[in-house]
Amino acid sequence: MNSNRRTAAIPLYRLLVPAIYILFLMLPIYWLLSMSFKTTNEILGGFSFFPRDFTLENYIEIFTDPTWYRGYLNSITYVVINTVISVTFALPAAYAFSRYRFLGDKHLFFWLLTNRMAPPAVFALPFFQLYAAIDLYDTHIAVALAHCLFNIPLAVWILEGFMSGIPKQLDEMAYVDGYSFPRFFVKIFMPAIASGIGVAAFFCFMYSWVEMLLSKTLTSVAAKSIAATMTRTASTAGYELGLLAAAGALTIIPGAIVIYFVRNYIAKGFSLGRV
Amino acid sequence: MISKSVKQSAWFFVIPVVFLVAFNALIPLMTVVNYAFQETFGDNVFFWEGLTWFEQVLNSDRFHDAFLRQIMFTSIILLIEVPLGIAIALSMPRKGPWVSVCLVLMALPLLIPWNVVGAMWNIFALPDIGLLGYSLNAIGIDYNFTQQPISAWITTILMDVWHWTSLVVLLAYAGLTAIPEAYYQAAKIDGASKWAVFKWIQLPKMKRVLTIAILLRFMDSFMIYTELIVLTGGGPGNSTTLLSIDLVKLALGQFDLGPAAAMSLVYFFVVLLICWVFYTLMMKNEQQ
Amino acid sequence: MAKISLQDIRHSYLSNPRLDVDFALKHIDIVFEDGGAYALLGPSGCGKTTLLGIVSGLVSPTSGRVLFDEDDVTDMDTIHRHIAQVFQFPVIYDTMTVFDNLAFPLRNRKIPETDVSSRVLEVAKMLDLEEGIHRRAASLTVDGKQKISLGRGLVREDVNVMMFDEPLTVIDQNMKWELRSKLKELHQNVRTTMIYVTHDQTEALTFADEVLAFKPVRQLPRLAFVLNMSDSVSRVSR
Ligand SMILES: Nc1ncnc2c1ncn2[C@@H]1O[C@H](COP(=O)(O)OP(=O)(O)OP(=O)(O)O)[C@@H](O)[C@H]1O
Ligand SMILES: [Mg+2]
Repeated sequence: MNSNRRTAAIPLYRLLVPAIYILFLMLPIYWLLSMSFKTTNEILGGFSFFPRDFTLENYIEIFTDPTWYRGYLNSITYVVINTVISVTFALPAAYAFSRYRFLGDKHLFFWLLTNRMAPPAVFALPFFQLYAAIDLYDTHIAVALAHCLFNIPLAVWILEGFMSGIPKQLDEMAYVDGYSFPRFFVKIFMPAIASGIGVAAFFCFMYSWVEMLLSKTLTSVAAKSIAATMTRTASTAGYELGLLAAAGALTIIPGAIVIYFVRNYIAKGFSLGRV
Repeated sequence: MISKSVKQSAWFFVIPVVFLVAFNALIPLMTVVNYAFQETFGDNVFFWEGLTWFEQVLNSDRFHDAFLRQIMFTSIILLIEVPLGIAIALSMPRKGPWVSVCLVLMALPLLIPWNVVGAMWNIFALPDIGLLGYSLNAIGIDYNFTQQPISAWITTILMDVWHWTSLVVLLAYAGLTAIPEAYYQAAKIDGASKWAVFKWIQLPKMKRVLTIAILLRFMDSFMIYTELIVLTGGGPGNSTTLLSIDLVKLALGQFDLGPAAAMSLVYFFVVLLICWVFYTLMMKNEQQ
Repeated sequence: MAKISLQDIRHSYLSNPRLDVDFALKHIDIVFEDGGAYALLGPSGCGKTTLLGIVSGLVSPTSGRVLFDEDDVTDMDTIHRHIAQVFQFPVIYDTMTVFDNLAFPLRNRKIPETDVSSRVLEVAKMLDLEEGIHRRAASLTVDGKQKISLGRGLVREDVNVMMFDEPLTVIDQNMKWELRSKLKELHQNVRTTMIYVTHDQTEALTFADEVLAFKPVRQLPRLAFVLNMSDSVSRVSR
């Protein structure tokens, strides 16, 4: 009876609910993967749980056809540009909101957040006109800038939460030690909120990567996003479900890689923003 | 919360952000306003129309229907996702190797592009070759989301639950792990039941993150477009035509820019208004 | 009420303890007599909180037995051990009123509402919490909150032992003295066994009939005459 009672493993029933939920999450993903390994004939021929004639043809087509793989490269390009812009611009602003009071600060903060509420469907057409007017239509930078509309408010919101958790004494001590503001900010303050920067970057990446309406509206040939490429396939090539499934399956990979790296921060990042 | 000093020059820090967001928010908004109040016959010639479009939109059955469908959709998914998310977060292990596994797998749907989400659910639910559709029909349930409005609604809601419940889970879980162990110990000493622990400790401590969750889910569900247009295209008929879809149909399909713009504004302000009311109510509650 | 005996208790927070340093409690043999007032004294990290946890059942020991009178309660739930415990930092139920906070342990045990009410008011009076008793507990200062935590320990009448884990850390100096005398007075009236954990020798000596000092003893020169009761706990009687 004096065995080590503390080490009892987590009771199995506690894992049951998450396990069922995860199973539910994985089913459609499994189906997408399964479709992507089937030939068009097999798909249209009827229902089969496992691919019968396992084929990599769909993937081979994507990796050899430039219009396909450029779609991914274009999307990743504007997502990265957007993430860099959003976080860089949001850093000083979040610092101001977390450290100082100034004329209109609360209203400004709320106004920034309201932009998170603007339905992209409302803005798609005006965005098209705006970026066409300044000659940026069909460039990576256009999509990157357009996504700033909702990503900058989000980044400011998250970073402000993290910065408020850093005591002001840190700033004061640095001034006493003779640091100039920019040097203090880069050398001392940014390392102190490194995980916050990581979380903000994660969310910017995520929202820019998943948003498809604006990216499709703002690009046509040169910077064509993967969404636009997929739409074209869906409409012109008839019903090439296998190819579409393979293309879809590949879009999961960048997200999965990013999640893996920030897995320990995800839960934290959500909790620290202030409402 | 740290005490803040007054410093007007802090504005210089926020100017870049204000400039960038304003560029993206105000100019398009002005364009929309421009269309909403005027009539154009091309060539940038406008005629003042005043509130005609607004009256037309606010009185049209079409807008009412889309709006009602939207409210119904948002209510249903909030009612499912929030309690479900909380329940899953509560049943997740607090530490150990399984936590990372759970979090990574659960976050996956959040990072899938929205058109892929729609396409994935489309092929998953197809009645003849989709896993869900085929299985349902195989066990004798008449299911075809491309033909039956009810099936289309169920599929849409399932897709949204699949897509977004994890967001609530992650937030609720973050709130839960932030509760100090001493609270649970004190509750044990006080003889509290599981339900009492939930009601008096966990729920109050999760209030802040749940507010964020509900706000985000409210806003995003009100804007749902891409997933839905790929999954059902708003059909069969108009049965799943929610606000965004109706708007785009009006603007691009029929090129009725005036009414579409007026509808955009109404739509945007409804979202803003509800969020603002919610926000102030929560803040008031907090101060008590 | 009961006599509490800890027999040959060892505890480690690690899953596979091997060396001596892996243990938060190396070897404990103590008897708390029924109705005594004890103070546990010792430096930070020496295992005082762990020891209380073992008595209350929040921590189950790696080895050894816990007896209440002659019953082995080592595997019994906290709720069935009938103990009260107050923690170092205030734990309150934010969304309840002060009254409901104090009533919570009683209501959970299905005590009739009339008894609950009279008992709560009595304790509230003792702790000066009567004013604003129907306000939200979250609105109180740290002092007030800690008094609520104390109060939740004091409202119950059927307890085997009341344990206080450095309960006055967050309370200011004057109040500390006052509350300590109150506790002492309470002990003299009800004669419940009390165990009081502290860093502070004076506090220990004023409160307790008996002080149990954790090693290392050399940090406590005034207790040089301690009787060595066990491997790591020494005891002094006044
Ligand atoms: N939950 C826990 N998990 C792992 N180790 C723990 C845990 N709680 C305490 N310990 C360790 O056990 C030892 C004893 O801790 P305990 O809290 O009992 O000491 P204490 O005497 O109450 O100290 P203090 O005066 O600081 O409250 C310490 O070394 C501590 O680090
Ligand atoms: Mg302690």
